[in-house]
Amino acid sequence: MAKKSLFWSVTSILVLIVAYILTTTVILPVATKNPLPEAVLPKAEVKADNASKKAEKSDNAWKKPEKAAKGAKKAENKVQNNSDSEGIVTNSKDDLSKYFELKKSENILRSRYNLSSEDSIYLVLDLINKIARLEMKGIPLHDTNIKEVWISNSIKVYHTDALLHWISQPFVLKNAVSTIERIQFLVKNAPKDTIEANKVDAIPVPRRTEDVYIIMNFERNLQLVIQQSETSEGADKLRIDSLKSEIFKREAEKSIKALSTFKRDAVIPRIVITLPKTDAITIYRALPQKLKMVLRM
Amino acid sequence: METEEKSWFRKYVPWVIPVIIFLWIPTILLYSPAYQNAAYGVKSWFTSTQINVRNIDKQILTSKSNIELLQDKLNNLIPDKAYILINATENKFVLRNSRDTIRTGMCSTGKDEILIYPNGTRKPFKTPKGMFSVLLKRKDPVWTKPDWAFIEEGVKPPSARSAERYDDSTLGAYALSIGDGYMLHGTLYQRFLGLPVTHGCVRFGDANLEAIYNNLDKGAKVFIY
Repeated sequence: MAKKSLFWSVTSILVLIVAYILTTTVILPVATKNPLPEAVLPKAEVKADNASKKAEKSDNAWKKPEKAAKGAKKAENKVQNNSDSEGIVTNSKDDLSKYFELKKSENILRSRYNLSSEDSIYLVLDLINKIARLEMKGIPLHDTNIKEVWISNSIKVYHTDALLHWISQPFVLKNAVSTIERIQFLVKNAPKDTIEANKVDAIPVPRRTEDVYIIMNFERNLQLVIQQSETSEGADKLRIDSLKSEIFKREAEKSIKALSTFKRDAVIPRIVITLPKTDAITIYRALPQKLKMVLRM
Repeated sequence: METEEKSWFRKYVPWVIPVIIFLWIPTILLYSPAYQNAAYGVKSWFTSTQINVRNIDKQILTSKSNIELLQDKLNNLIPDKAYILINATENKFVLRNSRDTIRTGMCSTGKDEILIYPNGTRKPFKTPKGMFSVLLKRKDPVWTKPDWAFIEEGVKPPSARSAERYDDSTLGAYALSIGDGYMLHGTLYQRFLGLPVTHGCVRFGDANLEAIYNNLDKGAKVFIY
């Protein structure tokens, strides 16, 4: 009997702890935080959307027919009023997908055109056609086929129109960490005389570049990870793993801290792309410190 | 015997449940990004991702005309004359005109090295990146060797107008200046093409250099990335 009660008390305490941790670190941030700060709908559209949702809800409220009828009438009137003043109609799925595709294309072209007036190289990331492109002054410099793309669910959950607002302007790089250096300078002392100069190897040995794993943090809360498609081994693998574990540790620390403060940020939305190693290096080394990136997704 | 076994089973097996729950705790803390991602996935099932758009037909038409306009504007940015793209990481080039690729091949770019002079001065050797223009085209160019060319060979640099400074063989048959002392030119060391071995200039093989010289006019764009 005593053991039974001990079992139940231990189990319930553990269940409560798990519930608390899940609420603090997962449920609350996901339910309350906006991971894409500028992914918001224009106010008029939100109002109209809510009104039509209300109308739908009222139609389905079969339990209270009188109230439902009243509510539906009210909501219908509201939608009607909005439709008259703002031109809201129920669009077909085909029309909507066509509209959003066009808008996305328009956005990317506008951003490219705006960036073409600047004097630096920019990155065009087209996740629909799976192409990463370096561009300058509107001229494509280097195209790469993206082998794999992974997008956080926190981006997918957003409304198509809200996402359009989020990606409508180029993303500006805040900081980047990488397993390779932008420029890998070799420092050499000048020879004292011609004899010493002649000792220097006549045939240059090409320097090997380490395997690539790049984490770029952009404004508007976007993280872009570029990884190579080739598998890493030995020291290269260790280097990549240590970079990954640093990020892992940071996130774990945030979660542990959140247990006492009851405040955990939503995890930064992430896009992970896989490229051939040489292309990943070319892109990383060509990009300026204040990189601007146009995103199509 | 059987009852004893059963009682042992009844006694201990239920404790697997609290043990599993206990082990679950660190995984939530350590893998909260993955848990959040999954939670967003669940959230997406209940979130509508489409809304109605006002005057959609009109908006589609506007968007189409905007796309055409922007596409035209972008097409106008592509130079009418030939231009060259140089990939300094892979040591490759593409010679293009507004429509086609004229020629592709290997080149040699900066070796990304810093030479420390005996007096402590640091001289970096790297190819600059960005957009440049062909400022000057020369046939049978003569290279005026700068100080670093002597210091690198362990020799004291001669006076500015010394005859030792003039070299008429190193740059090959043609040279195209892109400013700040950087040039597109030929090389005596054709076997090093494809390797980063230069002091900042871009070297080409003889046939490629001739095509570049013939196609790139003065003012032609040179993109190095």
